Parts: sequence; C-alpha cells; structure tokens
Amino acid sequence: MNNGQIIRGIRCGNETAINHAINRYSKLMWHIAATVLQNAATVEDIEECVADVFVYLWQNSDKYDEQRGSLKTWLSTAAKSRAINRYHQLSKKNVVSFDDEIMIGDIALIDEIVTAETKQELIAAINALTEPDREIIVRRYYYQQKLKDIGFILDMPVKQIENRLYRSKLKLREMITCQNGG
Amino acid sequence: MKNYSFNDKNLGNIKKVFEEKTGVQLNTSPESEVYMKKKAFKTVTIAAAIVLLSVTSVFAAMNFNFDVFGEFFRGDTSHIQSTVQTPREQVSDGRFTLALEEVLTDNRYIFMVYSVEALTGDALEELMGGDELIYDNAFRYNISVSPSPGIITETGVGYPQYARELVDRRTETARYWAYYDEMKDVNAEPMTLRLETEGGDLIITVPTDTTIESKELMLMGQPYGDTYARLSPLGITLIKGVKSGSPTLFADVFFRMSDGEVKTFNQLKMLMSPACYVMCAGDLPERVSEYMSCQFGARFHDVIPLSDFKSIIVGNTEYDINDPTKTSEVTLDEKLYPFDVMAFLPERGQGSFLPVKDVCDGLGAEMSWDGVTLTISYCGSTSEMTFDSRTYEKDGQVIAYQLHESSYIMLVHEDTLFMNNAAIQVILGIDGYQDYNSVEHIKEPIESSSGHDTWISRPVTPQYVRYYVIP
Repeated sequence: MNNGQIIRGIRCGNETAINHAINRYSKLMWHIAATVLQNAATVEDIEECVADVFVYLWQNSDKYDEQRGSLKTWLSTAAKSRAINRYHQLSKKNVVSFDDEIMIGDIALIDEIVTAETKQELIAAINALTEPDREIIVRRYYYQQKLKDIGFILDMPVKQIENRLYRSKLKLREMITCQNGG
Repeated sequence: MKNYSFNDKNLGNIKKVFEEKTGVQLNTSPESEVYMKKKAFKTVTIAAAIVLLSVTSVFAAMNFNFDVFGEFFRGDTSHIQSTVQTPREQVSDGRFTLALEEVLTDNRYIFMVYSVEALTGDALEELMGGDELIYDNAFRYNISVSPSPGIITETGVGYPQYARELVDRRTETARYWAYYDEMKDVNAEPMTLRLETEGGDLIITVPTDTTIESKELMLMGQPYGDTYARLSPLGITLIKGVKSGSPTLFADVFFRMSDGEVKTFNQLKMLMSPACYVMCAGDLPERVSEYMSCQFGARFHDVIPLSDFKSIIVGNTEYDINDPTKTSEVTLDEKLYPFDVMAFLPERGQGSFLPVKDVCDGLGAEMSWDGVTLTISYCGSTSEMTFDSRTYEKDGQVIAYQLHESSYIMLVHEDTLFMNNAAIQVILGIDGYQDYNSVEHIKEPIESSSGHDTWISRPVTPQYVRYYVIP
C-alpha cells in the first residue's frame, strides 16, 4: 500500500489501511514524540500520544491534502504538536514541584550563585522568564534534554538555543542577585 | 534516563489505544497459513530439488533457493521455478553485509529473500539483540526497499509492507527475510534494497526483469463501464466500479477454471494477509455516480498457470480469457454469493463470533456438531475443531489458531454454536465484514496518564450485529 492508497482507504473507512499507516509510521512518530517528551513523560504517555496521531488521521483524513505535502510530513507535524501539547500538560503538573535537585544542582554548578536559600527564588525567577526561554531552561536543566532536541522541538537552530540559554542564565543571575539586594 | 527505544510492545499498545479510542478493530493477519504452507511446500520442493540435482550440478548450488515460494505460495510451484533469480549480490561496510539472495517477479508483484550478516561483535549484538519477540526483532526496521516513484506500494523506512524473518535459516551471524511488495512500473526507477547503518547506507539494486507471462484484459459492458484485469500466475489486479457503501467489494468477480469449476476471488487469493489491498480512486462519472472506482490487488494462494484459467466472470457476464470480447450470460450457484448472518459480540475485546450453522448453510458447507467436536467440509477440505482446543485439524494436519491466548475460539450462546470470526474465516478461506451501522456503541470516559479527559467509543456487549460473509 502506498500513501495514496492508505489515505483513500482510510477515507473509505478501511481498517487495513489505517493498520498499514500505524505499522509504517509508528516508529517515526515514536521518535518525534519521544524527543519532545524525553524525561518529561512515561512510555505510556508516548504510546498514547502516537496513538492520538492515528486517531486524528482516522477522524480527519479529509484535512490531509496530497498537494501540500507528504503523508509522512503531515503525520510528523501532527505528532510533534500533540507531543508538545502533552508536554505542556505534563510540565504544568511537574513544574509545581520544581525543587528537583537535578534542576537546581545543574544551574547552581554552572553559575555558582544558588544556595539552598535561593532555591525558591530561582524557581520564581525561572517562572518569570518569558517563553520560549522558560521552556528552554526547563527542558535543558530539568528534563536533561539535548540542545539539538530542544532545537527540533522549538523549531530553532541549536545556536539560537545556546544563545538564549546563556542570556537566560544571565537574566536569572540578575534577578536573584537583585532580590538578594546585591 | 528513561529508555525510549521503540519496540513491538509499544506498537501493540499504540494499536490498543487506537482501538479503544475509535472502536475500530485493527485486523492483524493470522500467521497460521504461512506455517501450513511451509509444510506442504517442503515435500514438493524436496522432490523438485532431487530432480534438479540429478540434472546438473549448477543447480545443486541453488537447491535451497526455494524460500521465495515456500514463504509465499503453497502447492506445486515447479513450473515457474526457473523464473526465480538468484543475484547473490552483496555489499558490505565492514560491520554488516547486506545480500540479495533471490527475486521472483511478474513485473507487478515482487517477492525476494535478503539477508544481513554481522561481521563484528557490536554489529552482531545489533543484529541479534533484544530478541524477545516471537517472530522478529527491531533490526529489520533498519532495512527498507526503495520508495521509488514508480512503485505503487512504496515501502516506508521502518516497516516493510510484508517482511518476515525466515527463522529456520538464521545462523550464528546472519538473518534472512522474505519480502513481498507490488510495483506499478518497474521501468520507472530501479528498485533498491537498503540497509541503514551508522556509517552510511548499504544499497543493492533489485533486478526486476522477468520471464513470467501475464495478461491484461479489458472486460467491457458493466453498468459502471469497463473492468480492467491484470492476471499472472502470481496474482491479479482489478480496477472496477463498486457500489458506494457496499461491504462486498469484489464479491461479483469469479473465475472459471479450465476444468469448468467456478472459483470465487477468495478461493484463489491469499486471505487475510497484506497480500490484498483495496484502493478507492474516487467517484466515477455522474451517470454512474452510485459507483466508485476501486482497485483491488491480491496475490494468489497457489501459483496458477495462466492456462488453468478459462474465463473471468464479472456480475452475470462471462469473459473468455483469451478473447475477452467473447462474452456470454451466466447464472451461478447462489452459494457463491455473499450473505449476511447475525454475529454475536460476547464481551469487550473478544471480537465478533459467527453462528456456525448459518455460515455453513450460506456457503453450502456440510457441518456436524456433537457438543464437543465440530466438523465442516467445504471446498474439498474437511476441518475438525474441538471445543476448548487451541488447535484444529484440516485435512489431517494439526494447525494452531493464531489468536491471542485469552481469545475464545468457540462459544455456545442461546443454544447456538458461535465461532471466532478470525478463526472460521481462516479455516474456511472466506472473508467477512461487520456492518458497522448495525453496531450499537457507547461512549466511555477514560483517564489518560496525562490527566486530560477523553472518551472512547466502544461496542456495547453483549449484542448481535449484522455480519457479511463472502465465500
């Protein structure tokens, strides 16, 4: 089955066609979702996220336009946006307990400015950053994601991620030292 | 750090979630027929091998090159044995050797056997590692066959359309796969076999020339226009009009064999496998708007010499295979046509169960049931099923049902014997579709691990639903 047949089959409500699509694209969808959700989600979250892409395809196959791009690209975009939504849902829950030692430890090691007392202030400061800087910091230091992966998720060149991280750290330092009256 | 590598368990779970959220049952193809075929084929090819050995020693070196047939066809394949190519071409990067062992094609269907050998310790670990699954491991997803523009059934990287490991052939350092695909135009661009490796890809061009004869026929005068058929000993492709919404797409196509017997599509094609596909190309012109144009491809269960076909019957018109302009009106036995039964959905996750007596009556099959043993004779085969057994006997051969161990095979409800639809379809070589409009669904909220609210649509159980059976 090629993609044209798959999409026409799905539009006809053919289960074999969607099964083909799932067999063919799950691995790729998995990699995309896993990159976005690395260390932020469980394997089950990723499975559900990938399944959601195919549920979307099954229910919205008419929205796919062959003229505008390949099925693979369309599904990849759907996977990425679903994974990013899932990430935001999850991180809302997780960020509340931001006092994870890894996060604090990493930033502290780099900047040598954070003491146990300034922990809460650091969290407050991070949350005060504008997007996508906050997300970059959280992904990098809390979820331990690679710059390359963050670049993929946020559609930004790695160099730009690096720059933003650097500027955010300066900003954080400023915010904390200001708060400490320094 | 969590391990996020993808495996077949994840794929299974993805399908499960999909099924739960949509209420769609994804058909996973039963493997039993492949095993059955393999056994039948071995006796034939051993005999063929002995003949070849006695003829010339050149063939002796090729005497195990029959996997292409063994994997994909049953019965006697000797008459096209010589059309199998054995390129034995290989490429290597010092870690892996990719080899193309055999190719069989009729310029439409392509069957091949390829292998990968590991040359270093870490390559070996990659090739053989993580093999907890019954049939295969993830390594095969590194191998792909070219998605060239000329090929209808392009194969995406990751999941070949039909690639199956030949487990019996596995050695300490090498693994073999059998592969099946369908091509549109082999001349458009060379087909290539590719192994993705860290150091770059290993690529082999697949030879697609053939000496297998095929026929293209235009069958004229149907209510929707013409039917196109391409027939070869390996399979058939049809393009014809299908009534929109009809669950029985190709149930009006029959074949009269040279001995006069009329066979249905299902009796010739490999059932419930990736071997057949339907593609709906869209609506036909307005005057026949109740029809849509569909392409249907299927490879045959046996290799069938073209001389074994006398005619193709579409609707009530019989077309001579050698001259399709010669037609005649024909009335066929009503047992060759689709019919419907009331299937039973016993409980969630168990699928649908068909009333055995109604199915046998509709097919004209003979059945007997003594409360423990069920015997069905149909199309020259006799199958014996025992209640509670996980195997059945077909013409004296014991075959295991390829169903999940928690699936029921048979059940009695309101004094009626029902059988799992996947099991009875494989046993009798029939096809079937549930009429979704007849299924009552219920929406159930589910809690997802991310905490957001969602619901799924599930069939209510127990309930009876309409089910189309296609002989």
